[in-house]
Parts: sequence; structure tokens; C-alpha cells
Amino acid sequence: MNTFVIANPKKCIGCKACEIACAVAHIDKSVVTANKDEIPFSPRVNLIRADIVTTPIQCRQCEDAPCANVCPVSGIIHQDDKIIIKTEQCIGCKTCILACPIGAMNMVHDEATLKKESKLSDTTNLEPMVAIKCDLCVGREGGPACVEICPAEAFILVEQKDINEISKNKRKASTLRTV
Amino acid sequence: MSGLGTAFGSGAMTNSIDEIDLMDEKDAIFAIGTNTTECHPIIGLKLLQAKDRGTKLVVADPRKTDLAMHADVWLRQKPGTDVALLNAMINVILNENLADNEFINTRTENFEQMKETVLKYTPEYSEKITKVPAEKIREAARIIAKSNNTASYYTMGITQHTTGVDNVLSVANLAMVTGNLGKPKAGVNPLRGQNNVQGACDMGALPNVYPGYQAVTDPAIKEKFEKAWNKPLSDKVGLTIPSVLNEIMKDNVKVLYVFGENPVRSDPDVTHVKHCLEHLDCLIVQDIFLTETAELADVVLPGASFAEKDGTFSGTDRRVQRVRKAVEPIGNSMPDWLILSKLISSMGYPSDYKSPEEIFNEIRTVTPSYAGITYGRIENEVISWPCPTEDHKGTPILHIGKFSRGLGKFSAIEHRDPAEMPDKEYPLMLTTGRVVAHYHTGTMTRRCWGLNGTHPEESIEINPVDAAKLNIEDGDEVSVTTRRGSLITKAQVTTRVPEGLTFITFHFTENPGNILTNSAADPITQTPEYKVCSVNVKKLDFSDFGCQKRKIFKKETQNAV
Repeated sequence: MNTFVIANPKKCIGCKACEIACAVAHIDKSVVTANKDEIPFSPRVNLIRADIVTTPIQCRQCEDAPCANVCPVSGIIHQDDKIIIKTEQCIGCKTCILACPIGAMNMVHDEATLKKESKLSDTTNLEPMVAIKCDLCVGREGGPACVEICPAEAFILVEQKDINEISKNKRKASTLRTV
Repeated sequence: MSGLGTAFGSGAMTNSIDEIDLMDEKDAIFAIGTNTTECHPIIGLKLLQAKDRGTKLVVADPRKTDLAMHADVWLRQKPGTDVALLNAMINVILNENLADNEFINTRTENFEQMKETVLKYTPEYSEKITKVPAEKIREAARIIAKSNNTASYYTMGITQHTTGVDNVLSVANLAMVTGNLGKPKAGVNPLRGQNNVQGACDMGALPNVYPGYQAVTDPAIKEKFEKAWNKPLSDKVGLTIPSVLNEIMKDNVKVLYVFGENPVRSDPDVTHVKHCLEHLDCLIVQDIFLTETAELADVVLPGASFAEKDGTFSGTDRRVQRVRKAVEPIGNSMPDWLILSKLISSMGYPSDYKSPEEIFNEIRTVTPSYAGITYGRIENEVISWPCPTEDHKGTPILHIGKFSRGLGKFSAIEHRDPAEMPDKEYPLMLTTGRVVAHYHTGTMTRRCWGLNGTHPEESIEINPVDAAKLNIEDGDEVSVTTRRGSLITKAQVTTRVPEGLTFITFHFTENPGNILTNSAADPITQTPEYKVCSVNVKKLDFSDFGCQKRKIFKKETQNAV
């Protein structure tokens, strides 16, 4: 089963530290010069204030991920219990955005893409955009940045073993109701 | 501060922040006029954690803030009706015999006068004024009265009104009626908005006091400071900011020295502010960035940020804490104390401090409430003033046993409407405030990649019913106009504001909220009524102006900041 990160809306104070930590975790230059270097601010988790609740929304690493199913260049794959976008393959067709029921996909100007050569840049000033989503901060020391930074400890990293434990405990509790 | 000064004898937060962590299901929190999770996120977090442990949360706010969404009881009062709401809650408590009679009898005065006024404010009567259902008022009042301890928290939501002092006195009344003072997990707790505004007030940055709230008009105090500073001193109360502006226009104030403040963006009716500042003979501005106010200055003195200087900050619960220099000031910028010291010297008065600690030790010699605090002690100890001697542990909770003024004073307060109410020309109400990402005029936060990234542009909150009537959809460009001025921004159609109310911040240079606000103020404190004025919102048709859509919001603006 895929690992995923999810936030508890009961704990969320809407501070957006998660958005900032996420954005910082995914740039390879220093955040100190990010303004000067005009690096786009592109978090993969989005803090949403809705009518009855405020909570962060991010990828659920679906088992039968619609995004992976629809990508025409097979650029979204299953790897190491995660759903990963291979950004270098992304053509920006945006089908994954339409397919995702969670709203986890963002389209952004990606630093790497800016350096990519495209015939398109001959005919237009528009910079190509690519799809990004929560990648569980793969390769980051300390794991997911949002889980680490949240002052309310609202995020949890859920792995197969955690689900097993939760289910086991619930089942034990259920047996007491049968006696 | 003025309200609490009248009621209790001391204007500061009565209790300490860390008491929130001790609250449980027998306690309650009453948060009125504070969007705590957004404007004081760490305190807001503690409030939600207390709620998680079973503490009851009662929130009074016209907007559906995150705190309101978490509340056990949310009172959605119309802006400017806090007195009617609070009086009704006291009315319920008295009628249902839930008052703390022992506290009232032994620790307060003027109860009968307050009671007589409050008799009229039945929940049904107040419902007409506040629009809060009578049953909700009863529910809230019962929770607050029946809990073992109820702590009240408030901020600008109730103070930035022409009735600001009245609102605070009413919160004090409620706390006294329920005996929630002079003990832990209770109290009346204004949450200060800047990291060191408490410190600034403590040091006498108010026009009527010396450090430690010692009155300038008191002859004995005057003599003490004249001896300490070896100079004759005035015995007249000085000017508040609104008065300064008036006196500038009358040519009585010719030079203004502004430091760490951006009045061209943070004062109400900024068109008027700019006009006044341009009238000065000389404007000196000391700041860490070139703010809009600094741009008007004749002289700009570059100050140093928190990371570039040593000193102390005094927090909202009177705790004095060290701030320590981590990096050298950039270029020829200097810590504020050094700039002031050099300025004083060049004016012919000897000023030769070697360090902020030396200054602090001098402060201790003339300020009884700080006298026992030393840099050495606060390395390891948590000390809240008053702390009169070096072996005194400090005072986390005020008014234990007796109030600073002796007995707590009830005040009889009647409801008064705000200065400017909606009318035909300006049919909606506008209230102003903050968002979590930005700090005040955005001088620092709009230069932060992360913070500005999460909230890069302004929008005006408008209720779906009002938006529909104006043919405005979420994201549409709108013009927002009041009697003072107008701005263009995007509409954010949301139920966070009730019908009839709109909300905007004052964080954005391109859409400065205070170009709209009213300078009408509380008569005692002169705090402006930022929270209420009347406004006209119109869907923007760019063909009216012949200019290009959206260009002013793009990258050019980011570079300009």
C-alpha cells in the first residue's frame, strides 16, 4: 500500500507554514536569495479555507492513481510506495489535473523546465509549465517537510504498518461491543 | 490599556500566556475581537489545544474566523455592538444567579450603577442590536459564569472602535461579575500586536507617562526624573498620533521623528496623513526598509533589525526577554539606541552608553516595576513585571487579593453606534484586519519569498448574497470606495463575512486598506475606528478607465516593494 501524508483539520490553525516548508524543500537554491533569483513559489500542499473548515489538501498517493492512468506520456509512475511525476517527461497537457478528484495537482513554472529547450520558445514568450504534486519529500533528510514544520502537529505520515495498527486497534475495540 | 487602567488600575494583560496550557474541561476561554489563530498563531494554537483537552471555547466575532469555526459557542455580533452583547451576557448572569457575589462584595465597587444599566439589556433587547440570537447569548453567558475559571482574550476587534474603551470596560465588567480575576487560568488578557509594543508602552512611549506608567503631571515624579536626567522637564501631557497630525496642520508641530512606524500605510485615512506629513518643515524617518513614510522623509536613518541588535523585548504578558545580536548590521545601519544616543550627543546632551545593558540598568533605577530585572537574571529566569527587587520572582498574575487600584471598578456603559454607518451612497459596512501571512504594512513580510508567496495579493471578502446583487463573482476585479478614498482589488466571495459586511486588510501597497478607513476615534484613547466604516463596492469595468487589465498586479509590483 502507498504511503501518504494527511492533515487533521481539527488541529489546523491555518498558518500556512506547511506551504512555505514545502516550497522551500523543493528548491535547490537558498530561500534567502529566492526573491532576488525570482524563483517561483510552488508548494505541493495547499491550505484551503472553505465554508466550514480550514485544512491543507495534498496528494493521497492513490492505489489506482487516476493521474498515472491518464498521463499520455506515461510520465506518472508508481515507485517505492509513492506515485511519482517524472517532471522531465511532462508535456503540460493538464489531463492529470482534470483526472485528480482531490485537486492535488498544481501547474507551475519549474526551474528545470525553464532551462529546457523547446521549439515553442522560438514562437512565444510563454514559459512551459509542468505538473507537480506532493512527492513525500523523497530524498529529504527528516522526511516530509510539512510533517516536520507544522506547529499544531496536524500532519501525519501514514504507512502500511500504521494502517495495520489502526485497524487492529479498532477491531479489538469492536470486539468489546460484541460481548 | 485605558479601559483596564480605569477598571483595575493597570492596563496590562492580567495573566500569563502559559496558563492556557493548564486549562481543562472545567475551564473556559472567551475570545472576543481576536482572530487569534491568524494574528497570534502560537497563542491561537494553545487555545485550540485547550479546547482539545475539554476547555469550552466561546468566540465573539462578526467574521467566521478559524477560531469561530472551532468554537463551542460562536456569537456573530454586528461590528460595533460589543457593549450590547456583553451587557446582555451580564444581564443573564445576574438574572440566573450565576454571579460571583463574594467577589463582587469584597473586591469591587460601583456594582449597583452597572447593574442598573445592564437591567435594560435583556438577551432579546440585545438581539435587536447585535443580531446574535438571544438563546446563544444565554448559552455563552452560562458557560462563562459556570466554569471554574474563564480567561478572556481580546485584541483590536474591540479596541479599534469609537467605543473602544467602553468595550474593554464591558469585558472587565464581565470578568469581575464572574470573579475571574486574580487567579490562574482567568483574567482579562489583551493580546498585544507587536513583539515589543508592551515594552514601548512600558518605556513611556505614550504621551502622558514616563517609563513604568509614572504620570508626567505628577510633581514628585517630575522631580525624580529631572534629578535623574539633570534637565528641566515639561509637566504637560503630550500629543497622540491623531493630535500630532492636527497640530502639524496648525503649524504647531514642525518636525516629526518617526521610527519603526509607517503611518502613511498604517494610520486611518492615509490621504490625510500624507497631506499632513508633506506639510512638515522636517520629517525624519528611522526604519529598516525604505517604507512609504520614509519615501517622504527629509532624512532617513537606517535602523537595524531584531537579528542585528542586543536588547530586551517585553511581551504581551509583561514578560521581559532578551533579544540577542546574531549578525552585524548591514552597511551603515545602526541599532536604534545607538542612533538616538548619537543624536542626543550631537544636540549637546551627554550620551555615552557602552551597551544596551547599561541603558537597561539605568531604566531600572527610575522604573520600580523593572527595578528587580537584570540581564543576568533573565538569561535563565522567566520574569514578568512588576518585579521591584532582585530577589522578587516577578508577577505572572496581577490583582491577586486586591487590584492595582484597590477595588475593581464596575462601569455603567450604554451602547453607542459607530461613527459611520451604511447609507444609500455607501450601503455596505467595511471592517479591516490582518491575514496570517503578513505583518501590518508588509514592509518585512512582502519581501519574504515564503510569506508573500502564500498570500501575494489583496482581496476584499464579500458575502455571496451581496456579491450576487452586485453581479460580482469570486475573483472579479472590483472598485472599493469610501468617503476617504478608493482602491481596486479582487473580490473574494465567501460566507466568512455575514451579509452586509466586507473585509479587507492593510497589508498591500497597491491596494492600501487605510485609504478607505475612518479617522473617527475613541475620545479617550484616540484609537481610530478601523473596524467600522461604510463602503461602496462595484464590479470594475475597465472600459471605464481605458487601461489594461491586471497589469498593475504583476511582477512590476513585486520589484517595487
